[in-house]
Amino acid sequence: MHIIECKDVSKKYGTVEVLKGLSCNFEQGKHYVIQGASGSGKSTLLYIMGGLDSPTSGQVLWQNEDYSNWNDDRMAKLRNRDIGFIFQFHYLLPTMSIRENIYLPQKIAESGDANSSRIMSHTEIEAIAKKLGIESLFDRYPTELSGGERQRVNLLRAISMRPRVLLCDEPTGNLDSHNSKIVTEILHELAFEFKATLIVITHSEEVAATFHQSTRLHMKDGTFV
Amino acid sequence: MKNFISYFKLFFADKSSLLFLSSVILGLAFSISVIISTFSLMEGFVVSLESSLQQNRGDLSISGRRHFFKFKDISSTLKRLDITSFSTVITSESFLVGADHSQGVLVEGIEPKSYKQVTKTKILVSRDFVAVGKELANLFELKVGDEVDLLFAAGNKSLNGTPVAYTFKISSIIDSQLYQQSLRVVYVAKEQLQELLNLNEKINQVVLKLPTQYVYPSRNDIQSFSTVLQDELGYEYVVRTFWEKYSGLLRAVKIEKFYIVAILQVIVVVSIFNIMALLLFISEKKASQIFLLQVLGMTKDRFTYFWYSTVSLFWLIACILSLGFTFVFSLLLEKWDLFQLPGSVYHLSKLELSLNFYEVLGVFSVVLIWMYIVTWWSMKRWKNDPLIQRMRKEYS
Repeated sequence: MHIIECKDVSKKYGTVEVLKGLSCNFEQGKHYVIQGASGSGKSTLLYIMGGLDSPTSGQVLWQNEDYSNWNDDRMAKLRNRDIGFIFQFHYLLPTMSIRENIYLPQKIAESGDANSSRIMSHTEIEAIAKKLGIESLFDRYPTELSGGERQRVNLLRAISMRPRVLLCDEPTGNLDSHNSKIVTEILHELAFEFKATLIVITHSEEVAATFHQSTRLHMKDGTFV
Repeated sequence: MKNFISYFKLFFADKSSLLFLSSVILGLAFSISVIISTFSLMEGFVVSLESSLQQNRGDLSISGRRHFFKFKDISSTLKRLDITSFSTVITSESFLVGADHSQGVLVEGIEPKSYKQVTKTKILVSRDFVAVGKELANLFELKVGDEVDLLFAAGNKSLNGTPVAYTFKISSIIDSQLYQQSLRVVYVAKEQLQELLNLNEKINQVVLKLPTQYVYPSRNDIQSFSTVLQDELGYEYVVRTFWEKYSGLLRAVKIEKFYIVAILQVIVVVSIFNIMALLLFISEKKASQIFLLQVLGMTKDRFTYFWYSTVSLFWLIACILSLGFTFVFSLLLEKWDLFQLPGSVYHLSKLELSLNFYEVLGVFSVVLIWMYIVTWWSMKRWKNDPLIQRMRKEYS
């Protein structure tokens, strides 16, 4: 079953055509690496799939439903419950503790009609935090953490709602090789554990190679090659 | 509430945002306070003047069109209209002679007991004793127990045009609030003044209160009753409301108040621009945080709700602070002689603030509307920007 499907998706910024009638689909529980040079349009595609941007033309389907017509409320719910984002820059909120940052998606979901069975319990989060080696950092603030630690916190936050899809934009781009290895391994492991669709974009052949059980796609000039 | 505090901390916890926020709120509070203080001062002027006039003249006064008249000529009319609280008065002009200088004064012959019933002013006068206004006492450096000479022109037929001088002792000094009244009036016992002026039982004024069924008579009540009384008394008498002498001034102040408050909105608009600057500053400075919240599933509606709640909180704080500033200003008015008014211009020697609940509420509401307008505009600006474009700008 396709969890996300792109049909003839194009994206223009002014006169620059970033995506050129691109079509692809991603199956539930499978792992993908989209590789391409800088400016090939891979990030734009990722953001369009995550509902953070909209295509100029074409369709993006979430479980066969075109979400170009969804309202902001429905899109927000999708981002909160079904999609986990991991960016190159960790995007932790500086005024919140690590604990508050991790539980932020749950806090946001609390006010909505979230399906509580899919939300991770405190015990589960603490267990994963232990696995990630960040269990002792919960009361600290992002500025007190190293880049690798922040990215691991980001990872835990991204999976705290048991998302069906994990969208990762250069998740190890800002890390040294040691931290890069840790993050890659855990990302793989957790994605398998939660049967989540993992979509990683990277420009690096080396990083792409670490996701050895993934389907690899190559992008160039706004289309797959 | 917990979420609100977390989000609030997210946007305003850093030093620069907090400083900016504090200055904006203080600026807004001060602007609101300027408006409230201005119209409260004007309202205070109207209220003080009206209350002082009422204190000096009761609700209504009756004068004879041909000057002097006998009370018994109108007593039946007053009785018929259930007027039980009244006082007969003789008003005449005289000259007060002091050690170094002299001045024309208004001598009021009163019956202390009935006069107090009508005006609530306790004036101690008896034969050979007078009460003088506070400003007049200051001018002549008079104190209780001093002697003053009053020169009367009336009643001098037998003395071939020579003014007649009488010496009185000062029994009390009256603070009537009305500057001109305080500077010019000398109260004497009515019977003695009637004797001095050879008036027998004649008087030239009756001050009165409306019948007892009017517990707190409004201006409309007084105006209506004045018309009824005038009709009953006929052409020989003139009935005046207590504010009639200053009605033009009071009306002018009310009109001025409206225009001044309207013009002073400009100050609030300047503060509102500061709020707009704050909102834009925050939305630029905290763009990554705002969009991260959206990425994690916060809806635009919820964010809008948070933002309007925050702005409402600023408004509430600014309103409370503005009342504080106004209170301080009111204290300064009360305590500092610097705020003493030139009475010859303003009729009153001292001003006080009079806060009208509905007018204050009106000012607060207008400010809130302004704040919501700029918030709406600021929100609209970033709502129309695609999420990721802002995010990319932030991290490019």
